[in-house]
Amino acid sequence: MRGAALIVLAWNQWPLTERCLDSLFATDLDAAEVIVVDNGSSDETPDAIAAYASRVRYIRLAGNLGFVRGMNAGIAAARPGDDVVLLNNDLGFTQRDWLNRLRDAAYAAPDTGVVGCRLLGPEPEGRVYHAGGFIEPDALWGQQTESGTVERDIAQFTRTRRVQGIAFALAYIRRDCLDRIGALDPMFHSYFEDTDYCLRAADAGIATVLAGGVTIQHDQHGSTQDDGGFRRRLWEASRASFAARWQKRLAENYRGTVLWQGATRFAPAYANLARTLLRRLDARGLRMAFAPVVREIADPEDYRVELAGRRRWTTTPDATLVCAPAPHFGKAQGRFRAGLAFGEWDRVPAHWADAARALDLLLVPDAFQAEAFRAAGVRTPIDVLPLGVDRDYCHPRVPAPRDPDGRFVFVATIADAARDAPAQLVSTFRRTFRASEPVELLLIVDPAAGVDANAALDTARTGDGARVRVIANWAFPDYQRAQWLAAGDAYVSARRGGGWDPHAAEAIACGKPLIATAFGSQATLVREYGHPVEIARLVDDPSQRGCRWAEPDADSLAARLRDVFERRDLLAAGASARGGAFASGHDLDATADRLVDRLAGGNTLSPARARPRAHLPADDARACGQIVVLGMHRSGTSSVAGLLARMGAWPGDDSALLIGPDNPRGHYELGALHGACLRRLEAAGGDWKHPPMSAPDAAVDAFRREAAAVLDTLDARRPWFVKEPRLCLIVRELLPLLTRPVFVHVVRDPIEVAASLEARDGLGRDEALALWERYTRAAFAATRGWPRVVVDYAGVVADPLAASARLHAALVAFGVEGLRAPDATAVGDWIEPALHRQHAAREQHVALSPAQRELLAAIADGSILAPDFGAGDEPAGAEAASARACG
Amino acid sequence: MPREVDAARLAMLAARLDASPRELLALAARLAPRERIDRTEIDAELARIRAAGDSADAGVGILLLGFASFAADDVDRALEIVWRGTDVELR
Repeated sequence: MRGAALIVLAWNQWPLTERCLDSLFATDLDAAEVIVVDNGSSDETPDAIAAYASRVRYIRLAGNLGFVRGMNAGIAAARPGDDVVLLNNDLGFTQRDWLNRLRDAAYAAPDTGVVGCRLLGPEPEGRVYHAGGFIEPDALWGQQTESGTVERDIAQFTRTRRVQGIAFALAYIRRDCLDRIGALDPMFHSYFEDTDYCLRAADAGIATVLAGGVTIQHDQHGSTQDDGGFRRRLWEASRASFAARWQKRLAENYRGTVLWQGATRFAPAYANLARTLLRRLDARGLRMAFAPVVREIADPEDYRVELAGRRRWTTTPDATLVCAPAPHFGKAQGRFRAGLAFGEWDRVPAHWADAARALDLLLVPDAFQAEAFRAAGVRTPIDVLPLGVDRDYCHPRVPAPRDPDGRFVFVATIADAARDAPAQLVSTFRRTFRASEPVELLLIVDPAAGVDANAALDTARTGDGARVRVIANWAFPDYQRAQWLAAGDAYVSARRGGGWDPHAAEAIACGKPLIATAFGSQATLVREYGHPVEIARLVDDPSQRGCRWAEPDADSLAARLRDVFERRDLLAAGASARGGAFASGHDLDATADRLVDRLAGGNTLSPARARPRAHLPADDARACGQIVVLGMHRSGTSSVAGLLARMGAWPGDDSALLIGPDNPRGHYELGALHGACLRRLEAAGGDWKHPPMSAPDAAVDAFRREAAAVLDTLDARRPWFVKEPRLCLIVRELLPLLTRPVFVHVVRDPIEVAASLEARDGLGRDEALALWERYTRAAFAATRGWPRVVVDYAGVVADPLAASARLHAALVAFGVEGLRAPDATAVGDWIEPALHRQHAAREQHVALSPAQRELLAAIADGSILAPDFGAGDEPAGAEAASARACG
Repeated sequence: MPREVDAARLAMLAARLDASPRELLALAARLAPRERIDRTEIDAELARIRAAGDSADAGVGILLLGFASFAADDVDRALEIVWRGTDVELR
């Protein structure tokens, strides 16, 4: 069985190493070997390590060879085939399942090769030192987070996502990645080797991901402190090496310079877009520069904004995006000029419409805004660019201090006293709820609202009623904005104005009910996902005569507030799942993708550079004699398993195999693996007939532990195979334990499968077909990119010997050694056509759903073996180089 | 205090008004826009600052931070203050 080599590099600083090892051994180190590489320590390390002798393999190097050579020594010493995890000795492990979660991330996609995690610094309040970083070509100043800011830990970046690079203070590297691009480049002593490695991986089509579900403490530079300039010299030397290799290439990756003209502080909605989209566009190959359209002091701690502000252009920028109210559109100065704006009214003012003439393209967030511009006579092409949610910062797990008395808290933000109608909100709230009720209203008031907002609030707060609290938002960090929402239970946007309110969608993403006026940019959103406040009437905005906004109906608002409060328990149930699903469908990254397309639409940017073909583990690996048979129940997996046994593949000891009443000659199923599969599904709340929809970490880890024990016994005799239909649902969880496996997918006509399940288990046809689809899709999705063979059960029954020969040839071609050619007599004795009791006619396929028919067709034409089948956009029918269809 | 000498001077000035150095800083900020200041106004403003409690203290904390790091990472603190019952308002 394959495992992971955890390589801890130490150079003096024994107390750090000791702390690291102690915390490491207090975690679940399933299938792992700990290797301590001592870079020639002169302190007590060589002696003190003896206390760990039974748990650690100790490798002492003659001197301090530096981070790269030290780690490479550990990699070279790892068991062949093991994945490796590079670890600094100044890490502290507080998360028990960190290794298994890294494994899950490493094997979630076939082209993943390098996995990092969130690293927290030593501050007591928790600060995120690393969450996947990037390096820019201007100064090659590598950043450890997307904004370059050392932010407080508010559970940002807690999902698994692709990044340009990770810090090798902790790096999980898959064996097939090492096989493909080798170890760290000794051109580097220390520093830059991690970014170099990730970029080399990317060149080979191998992805680097940040497993946000893992958080480790990192006493940064604790492992290399002291020194009087030594570290600085190392850094500079490595930087020079890195520059020679990458600087020009990184710069050439840009498709052109795009100038973002906008604001990063006020108004909040536009500032929000600048901060969140500017960095995403840069990461998508646009060299982003920034010019403010209003006087402001940009946040110097946001590296992306600061870098963009420093960048200059010698000629007109290739494109520009003015992201600001329309009166600023006249400042657009790119060869292709786009603007992104939204108004508060059903028709924008005439001077807004006039300003739009300066643009080649006007972008608006929704159809309401498009109509508001068109109604004012704008003839510039208008595109709708739906504005998504920043899922890295807005989700249901964002922490925030809550009211210690447990009151239900409505949150509202006030940035404009006229537009946001705070007095009406407060007075309606106070007449809706009595002082004795456990409810309150928390107002976050932006300074832009002016002191008038306070005066209005003072007036409204006189008299009885439930409590209203106020916080002035004196430029709190934008990245913490979801904490306002997390501090409450519902978000209220009972505004007059119809402009885009980023908090509305963010609230839903955070799992909070949204109450909003059904007008403007929030109308569709609140009608579909929230609690709409009806409009009393459209009225003129006093500051924009002739432009109307909506007066929210006070009674409707009161009813919504009361309704949400009364149903609070019901609404809270499942809010987290709903929030996650909403954010997935309204993702700011999708917005960024579309924005890049729109900006490129002017043909002033270079074409996007072709990406390297995605790495497939099957490309380079020679199979090592581990065969996994996958197939839906009643698909003929036992028959194919029997053929493998007759080729000499080992199914395990006879005594360990199950024999069931419906297949007295044997299933070739190991009892221990079968039991592990049963327990895995049960632990997730399901069984084979009712596959669970979730994969609880504890269930996955327990299954992997049990499966590891099974694989250990098998590995004594390769080639071997395992077969268990339930593995279709959970085989991905086995991938970290397998050394270059081959997957044999056994397929059978779904009508026949359904008939067999009906006869044996009493399942209805539709239910059986749905199960067939679920198993089949799950199995093929999990083995994407890995060596795999498809065996059609009908072919096996029709001509067992020929099917066996094809299967044998395919396995041999993948490099499986030790198999013998199938013997006609043995095969004939094993496959009995009489066992093939269910026969489907083509016309019976009308019973299949369109999705099931599509799946069946993909199996028939082999397109199911395409690396991206079921993962999105790869055209169906593409043949996977890694796969061969037979049977 | 940013520097010890400033701290000593502030403490001395504050003592003359029977105020703490932090209250003096808040007082100075509050009265700065006014052209003329008399003792009555000073006392009234000091009373307001003392009544504001945590929020006045938080406001002075902002003054003591370096440029552009004002209010940094204070959402947690602001919420803790407001749950204790003190509004943090604009004026």
